Amino acid sequence: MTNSLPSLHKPCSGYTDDDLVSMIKAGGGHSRKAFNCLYELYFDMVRMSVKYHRLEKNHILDAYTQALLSFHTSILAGKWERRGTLRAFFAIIFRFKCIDTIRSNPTISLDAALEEYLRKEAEDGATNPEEIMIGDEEHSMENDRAEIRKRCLEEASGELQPREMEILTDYFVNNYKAKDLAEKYGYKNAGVAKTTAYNLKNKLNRSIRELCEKKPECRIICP
Amino acid sequence: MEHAPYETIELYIRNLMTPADRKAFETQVAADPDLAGEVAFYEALLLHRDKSLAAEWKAKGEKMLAGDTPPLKAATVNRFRIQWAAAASLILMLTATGIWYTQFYNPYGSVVTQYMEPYRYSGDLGVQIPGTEDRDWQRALALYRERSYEQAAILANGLENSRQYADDARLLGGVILIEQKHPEKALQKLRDVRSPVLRQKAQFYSALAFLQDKKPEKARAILTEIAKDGSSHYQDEAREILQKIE
Repeated sequence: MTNSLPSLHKPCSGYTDDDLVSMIKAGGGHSRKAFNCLYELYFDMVRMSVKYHRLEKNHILDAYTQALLSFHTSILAGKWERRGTLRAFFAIIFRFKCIDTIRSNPTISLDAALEEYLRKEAEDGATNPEEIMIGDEEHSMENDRAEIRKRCLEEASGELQPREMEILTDYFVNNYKAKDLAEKYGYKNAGVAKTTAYNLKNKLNRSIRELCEKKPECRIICP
Repeated sequence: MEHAPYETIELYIRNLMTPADRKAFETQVAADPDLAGEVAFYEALLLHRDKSLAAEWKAKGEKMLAGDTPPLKAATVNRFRIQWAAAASLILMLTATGIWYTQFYNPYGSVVTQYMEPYRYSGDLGVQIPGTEDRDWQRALALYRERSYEQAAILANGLENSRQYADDARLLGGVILIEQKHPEKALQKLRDVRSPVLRQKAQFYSALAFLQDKKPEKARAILTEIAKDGSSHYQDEAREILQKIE
């Protein structure tokens, strides 16, 4: 799967849309590079949005970050079907995140000029925004449940050291190979790194179970 | 490690499943404690990852907004450059097309080629003691037939004040200039042909020269005259050409 991945040493402007998507799907260092590039390549949307200063800088940056996270999952889920540019696909998500930010802040409103700018950016998307954002609408319906789960899981994760959480995240979420994990964290070999990752997994699972026993409201995260 | 279950779990956690798939997955989770445990485990990692990334990106974004990092120029996204390049390309293309049309393309070229006949001298060359002018004229004709147009034209020019060969020389010169695609100069030569015998030829060649010069209105005027003139040898040709250039 990784035999046709573009080089990590190219400048960001040298990657095509297909390159970036394949890098995201590959995970690990390639995904990190792709997101670093995407963050910078699309940042002009943030600058333009900040220009229409009805939305505060922090709100825009939060919306942008959330958009990138949703964008990542959407790519992995195969939501981008190459009917438009990757940039326009992202613009659709960013626009919805801006609207979400406004919904949660009744004192602010979406400037007409910003709305028009974001709409134009998304014009080339050739994708039905409803298909991308259906998940976000459902999420808003289960907001309370999601908030409780989030709080409880963060509490359970708090029992592990930050480095331990980093190791788990790199191995299980960022798709690091055991060999790369060993190199990054200084383990003797891939075998040791893999064993460490699974030991830490057991530790986190134990922490989750103990929290469920300790706090009834957190039983929502337990089987 | 097995990634497959985590990909599905991430879709579920991010609410990117269809309602039907989501319901089916929830049923699965409810019936399988191990799967439920995996969902909780992976969700905890995603939360941690999202939080780290959000903090990292926010710091980066603040720095970029503060102007420490210049905006990255994407290879494919500078709309103004693309628009400018497209406009410049269009102008260049239109200019090139205009130049080609005005300088090279002649919609009447095929008509001129079809009706252009070589110059034929109908005078008398059988002088027993040829003088200089006779020899020059014969030489001009010979060179013309050999397609040595430039040398033929030089000799013909020298004979434009000749008592015997002036009009023929002008006619020959005009025909050579049409062959060489210099219609404006050809028209000047042909205009000076006075002899009534050669005037019809000169008129017909003039019409062809105007077509070569992309001036169909002037060609039409001459051809209309010729077409009405019952005594002209070119009456049929003139009518045919008029039909073609309508």
